[in-house]
Amino acid sequence: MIVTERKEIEEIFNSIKGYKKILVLGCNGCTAVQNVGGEKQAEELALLIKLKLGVVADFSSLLRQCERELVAEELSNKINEYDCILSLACGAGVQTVAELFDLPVLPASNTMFIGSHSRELSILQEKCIACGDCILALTAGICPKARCAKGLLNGPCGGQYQGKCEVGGYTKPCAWVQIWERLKKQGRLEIFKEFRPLADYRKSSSPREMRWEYI
Amino acid sequence: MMATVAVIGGGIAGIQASLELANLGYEVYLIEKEEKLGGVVEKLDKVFPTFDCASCILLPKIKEVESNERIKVYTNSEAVKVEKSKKGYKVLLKDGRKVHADKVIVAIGFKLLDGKALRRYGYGEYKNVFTSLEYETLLKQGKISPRKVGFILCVGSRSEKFKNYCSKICCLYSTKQAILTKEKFKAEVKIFYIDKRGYSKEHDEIFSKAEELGVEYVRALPGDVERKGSSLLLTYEDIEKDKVVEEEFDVLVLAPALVPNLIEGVEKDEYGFLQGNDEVYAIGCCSSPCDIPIAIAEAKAIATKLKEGRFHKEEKGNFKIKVVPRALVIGKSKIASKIADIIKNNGYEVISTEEKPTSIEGCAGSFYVSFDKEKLNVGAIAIVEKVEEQDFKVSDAKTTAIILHDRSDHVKALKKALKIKGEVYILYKNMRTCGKDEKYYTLARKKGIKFIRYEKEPTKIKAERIITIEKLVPSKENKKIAKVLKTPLDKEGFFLEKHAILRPFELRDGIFLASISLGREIETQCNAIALEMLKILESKEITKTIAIVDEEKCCGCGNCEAICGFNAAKVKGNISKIDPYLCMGCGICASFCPAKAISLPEKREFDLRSKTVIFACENCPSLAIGQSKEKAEVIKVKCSGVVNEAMIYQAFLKGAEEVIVLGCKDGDCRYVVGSSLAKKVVENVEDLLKKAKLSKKVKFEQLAGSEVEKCRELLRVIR
Repeated sequence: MIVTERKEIEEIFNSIKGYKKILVLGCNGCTAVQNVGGEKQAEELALLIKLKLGVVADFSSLLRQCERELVAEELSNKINEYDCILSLACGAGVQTVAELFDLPVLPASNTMFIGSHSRELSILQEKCIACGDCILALTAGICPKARCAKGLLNGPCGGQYQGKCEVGGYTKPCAWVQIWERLKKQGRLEIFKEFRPLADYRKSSSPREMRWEYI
Repeated sequence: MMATVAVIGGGIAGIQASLELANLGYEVYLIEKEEKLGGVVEKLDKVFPTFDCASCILLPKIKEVESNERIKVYTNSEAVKVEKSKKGYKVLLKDGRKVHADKVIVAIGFKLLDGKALRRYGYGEYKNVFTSLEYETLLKQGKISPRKVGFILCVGSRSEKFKNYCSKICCLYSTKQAILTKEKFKAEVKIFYIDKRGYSKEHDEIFSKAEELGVEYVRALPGDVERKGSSLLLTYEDIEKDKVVEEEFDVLVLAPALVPNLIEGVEKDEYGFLQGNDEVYAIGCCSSPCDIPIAIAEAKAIATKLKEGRFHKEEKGNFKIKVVPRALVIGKSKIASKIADIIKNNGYEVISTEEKPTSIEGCAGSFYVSFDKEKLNVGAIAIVEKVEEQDFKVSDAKTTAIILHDRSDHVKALKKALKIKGEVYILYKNMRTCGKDEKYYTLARKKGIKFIRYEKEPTKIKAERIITIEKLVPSKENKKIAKVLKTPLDKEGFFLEKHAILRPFELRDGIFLASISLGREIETQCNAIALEMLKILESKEITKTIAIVDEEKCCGCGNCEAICGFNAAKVKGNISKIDPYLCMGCGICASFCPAKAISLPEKREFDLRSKTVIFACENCPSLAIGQSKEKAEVIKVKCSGVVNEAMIYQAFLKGAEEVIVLGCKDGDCRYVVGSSLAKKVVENVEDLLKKAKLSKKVKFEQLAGSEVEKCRELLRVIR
């Protein structure tokens, strides 16, 4: 999922300065799962804005802010009375809403990465850089582009010590050691020797766009 | 016309009996000599074995009595005589009034022995010699800070000269007081005792807890007390070291014998305790020395015996369970058949089985219990715990030695030993003939049985026949059954009832436990359990409040699943499903649903218009506020855990300068996670307020029902 983080409250206050009627818009997609930008958090933020700035601040939420038609359908009748929308969605959500309406749409969150979450470990972890050229079949399901600090395709480098990476002072695991260990555990170490072609970075050059149809 | 019952004595036993009988449709007259209800428990700081604050146990019950239309309370009314009348009984009050009733329950409790037995230790002469009850009050009020305390047990109990019975609870309440003394004042504590007497499986743990805290047990019956400066000089014989010791203490606490309160017209037994008959019942400490769980169990048991009518209960909620009028009793023993008989006599079907269930689904009112070959649908379940108990046959030998473990059944062993011809030795650590059972110990000694005490290992003696009676051990089956029931076991593997005082005999809502390891009389247990089961069977329909999920809004995040303290919420196919049988209706999941998809059926509007808004959990903190008698505008919530960020901001928006959230102490939260969630929410809000440079204040405090002073201070600061 897309991992987000709420912006510092002061930055949010600064960005909405001057607006008198604000709609705080939550997204019940990825960000709600992380307890960052769901309807609950939208309500809290709206109340806090009212408290601090004394302006009109209502809240609402959508199932997903990154789906154009859904946003259009749900919001078209609601937004006329506002002079700005403060969105708690990821960058994709903010832009989808911004495209549809003439109102200024401001982000209340920073979009961090594509990752996974663990309640037990209280952790959100980057897992994918959306390179468009997946090599997980060769790396035991661990992406070195996202998980190796240097993004190496052939590791580990000399910067690992006892399975830890020199980047960050030997606190984080070396992705390549993890890859090697998982392959070993699975009895597939021969894959390690397989030739890994150069990454085709053309596939990840922005802006990217794809055709998409229902069927 | 409704049947009437007069309950004499408004202590915990009388209160419980009144509540149960009123629920059975009786018109209850509760007669109390003091100006308010509560009896001895009202004077206590904490209660054993659970170490709850006494007020938290007592006050909700008193409130329930006061709000029950079927109970008429007469305070400041001392009953002096019970007399048979034409239609039933009349209770004569001291001021000449009479109360007429069909049946009478006497629960007038006890007083502590006074006089010579205490004077010997300087009681009445030296100001720092207290009775246990006086000391408890000092502990409660915190008006004392001793450095060295000596507790003297068996003051007048187990004595040919004073009272020939054991007062049963002194060992434990003194140990409780010793623990509290250690915890509150870090004082040096010694307990002078004859035998460390416990009678239930958890009691030995209380003794060990005290020892771990540094409480010293000295096996001695002290002699004299003299004054030495501002302290007291106690003389006692240290039998272990074989010498006479003189030791100084700041404070001495005496545990005098319990003496039953008496009333004319109710017969006494050989020990002077009240003995009931089929229409006048005696329960609680006036009938036999007992602790709070026993008093409550007796009150419930009496209600079963008097049961004629149906239960009256009105409930609100959004989920109805049709009650299956059938009970299941698991286990084969006299206890099991006794429970089954009582329920059958009340007109309900009972299925008895020895087989272990393989799964139990549902909740009180409708359980689906699967066995290897069949599946049963029942409304309530009783489980009779299998305990491996050692026994022996009486046979004569020249010399017999019986080795007792502290946790074996001493009374049973003594009864049998008394029948053995020839020389008998009994090796023991602590002779545990509690209460009136002390007579078997006295009798055995008179008959010439020789008692040899041992510390760790039994003394080696030569005998023709040696019988070792090991402690009671839980059956290995318990583990399997506990897993099916999803209930915990204690360290040794015995079943754990939910709460010895508040929810005795209950393993889970609708599933009850009978066991000899509970240290309560079998007859009492069977009746009390039957009552609890009948309450369910007779209600026909159980209504409860549960959380509802708006499936369209649910984002399947699983927050509710992670947060629920009862495993009631589960995300299935991307939607949260709430198990209506497991949901307790606390509303915590609703407060924390990121998509605001969960709600409770009743929406509450809060009046949030004061300078300081206090959200108080309706349990412990509300009790403390009620007791403090301070007038404070408080918003009572089901649990502090339902107070989320939005509620706090709303209070600020309505003009509050400060919001205080009051939750229960760690571990006391009825909904498991509430208190810790509230703490976190307040921290989050505090952090944001600071970052937003807002001058509003927010605070989280934890209050036990007994912390009246702390509560007053808190409320005073607000003003």
